[in-house]
Amino acid sequence: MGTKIKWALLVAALLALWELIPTVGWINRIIVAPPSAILAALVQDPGAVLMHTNITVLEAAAAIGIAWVIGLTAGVVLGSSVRAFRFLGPLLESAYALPWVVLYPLAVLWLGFGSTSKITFAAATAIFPIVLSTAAAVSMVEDRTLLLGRALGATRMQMYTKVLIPFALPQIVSGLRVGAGLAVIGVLVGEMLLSVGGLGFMISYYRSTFDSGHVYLAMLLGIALAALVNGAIARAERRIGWWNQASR
Amino acid sequence: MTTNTASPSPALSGRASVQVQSLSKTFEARGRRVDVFQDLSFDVPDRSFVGVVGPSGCGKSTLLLCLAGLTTPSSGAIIAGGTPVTTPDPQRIGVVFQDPNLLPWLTVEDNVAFPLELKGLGKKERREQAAQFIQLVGLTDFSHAYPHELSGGMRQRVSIARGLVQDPRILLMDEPFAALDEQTRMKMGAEVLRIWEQTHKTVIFVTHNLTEAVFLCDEVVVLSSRPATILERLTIDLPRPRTYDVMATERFGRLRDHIWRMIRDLGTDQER
Repeated sequence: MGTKIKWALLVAALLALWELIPTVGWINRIIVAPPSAILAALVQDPGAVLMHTNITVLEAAAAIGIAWVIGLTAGVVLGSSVRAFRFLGPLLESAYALPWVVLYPLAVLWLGFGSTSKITFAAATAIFPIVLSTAAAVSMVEDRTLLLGRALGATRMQMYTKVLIPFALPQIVSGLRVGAGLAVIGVLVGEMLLSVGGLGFMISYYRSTFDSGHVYLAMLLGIALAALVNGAIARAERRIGWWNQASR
Repeated sequence: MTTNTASPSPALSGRASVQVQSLSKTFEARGRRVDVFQDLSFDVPDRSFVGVVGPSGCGKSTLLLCLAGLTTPSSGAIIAGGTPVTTPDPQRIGVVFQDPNLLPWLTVEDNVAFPLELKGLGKKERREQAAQFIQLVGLTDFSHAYPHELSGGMRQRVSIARGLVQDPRILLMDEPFAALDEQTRMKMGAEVLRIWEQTHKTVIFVTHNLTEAVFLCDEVVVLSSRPATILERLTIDLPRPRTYDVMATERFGRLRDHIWRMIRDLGTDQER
C-alpha cells in the first residue's frame, strides 16, 4: 500500500472519529463541533464566509506590507549605526516583550471599529522582530566587506542594496516571517476583541450564539491563513539562505 | 651592495604611473597619536612591478589603502596616471586584498562582474567582459561555481579577475597570497607574473614574504618599522621572463639576503 493511501485512510479515520464523538454524545456538540456541522456552516452562507475571509486576508496583507516596509527600513538604518543599535537594541527587545494587546482598545478608540485599527495594531506588533533581526543582521556585516564595496566603487545607496542587504538577507527574511506571523495573529486578535467583520469577528460572534460549526470553520480558516503565510515565506527563506549554510 | 647602480630593467625606465609625494599618515588611537608612516616618496614606473616590504605592523597595508583611495593620508599626495587619488576609482586602480572577500551568494562569473554591476552595465555585457578575465586567471570551467566550492587559491584568482575586470592601468595587491599554503603561494606567484606580462599593468605588491618580493618585482621598496620611512629602493635586476629556476641563482639569494638583513636589524632595534 502506498504512503499516500495510508495517510488518506488515517485522515479519514480521524475525521470519522471526530464526527462520531459529538454525534453519539460523548462530548457536547457545542464544545466539539463535528465536521458535518463545520461543512454545514460553510454551505449555509458561503458568500458571508468569503466576505469575512476577504476582510481578514486584506487586513493581514496590509499589516504585513506596512510592517515589512517600515521594519526593514528602520532595521537597516539602525543596524548600520553601531552606537544607535547598542543603545536602542536592548530597548526594542524589552518593548517587544510588552503585552501590546492591552493597548488595542485605544487603537479602536482612535481609529474606529473598521479595518484601520486592526491593520495599525497588527503592523505595530509585527514591526519589532523585523527591526531587531534586520538590525542584528546588518550590524554583523564585516568591515572587510564594507571596505570591499567601497574599493569596488559602490555608491552609498549601492552599499545598502548590493552589499549590506543581500549579505543580511537570510536573517532578514526569517525576521520577516516571524513578523508576518505576528501580523496575522494581531489581525485575528483585533477582530475577535472589537470589530464588525473578519474571521476573528466570526469566531467571537458565533461563539456568543453557541454556533460551534461557524466558530470551528472560522478557526480553521484562520489557522490555514497563518500556515499559508508562514509556509510561503519559509519556502523563500530556504531558497535565499542556501549560501549562508554552505559557506559556513 | 651595488644594486642601486645596476642598470635598471626596461620597465623602470618608463614614465611614472604612480607618484607618491611626501606621504604621511597619522591617526589617533585612545588619545594617543600614532605615526604610521612619514614622508614617503617614490615613483612607480608605468608597467613595472613594484613590491613594498617591511617588518610586520609597519604600515604597508595602510599605505596601500591610501593608494587605493580608501583612506586619506594626513599629508602629501598620490598621483596616479597624472591625477590625484582621493576616492576609490576601480576603473583606474584595481585592488586585490589578502582575503579574497568574494560575495558568497554570487557565482564566480557574477563576482568578477560585480564592479560592472555597480557601474550599471547590463547583465549580458558584464558577463561578456567578465568571461575574458575569468579566462585570464584560468577559471572558465568554474564560471558558474559558488565561492564555497572553490579552493583558497581559486578564490584569490577570482579576486584578481575582479580587480582587473574594469581594465585599470594599476593593480594594487595587499599580501594577496598570505593566507595560502606554500605550494599554492608559489604557483600563484608565477600566475601573477604571467598575468602581469600578458596585461602590461602597473602592479604595486605589498608582501612580507621576501622570496615572493624578489621573485616578482622590478623594484622593492623596503620600509622601516613604525613610523615607517623608506630604507631603500632596491632594483631587482634579475632577467625576465622569470621562472622558478631564478630562485636557485646566487644573485637571487644575495638580493633576498640583502633585504632580510635590513629588516632583521630593525627587529633587534625594536626589541632592545
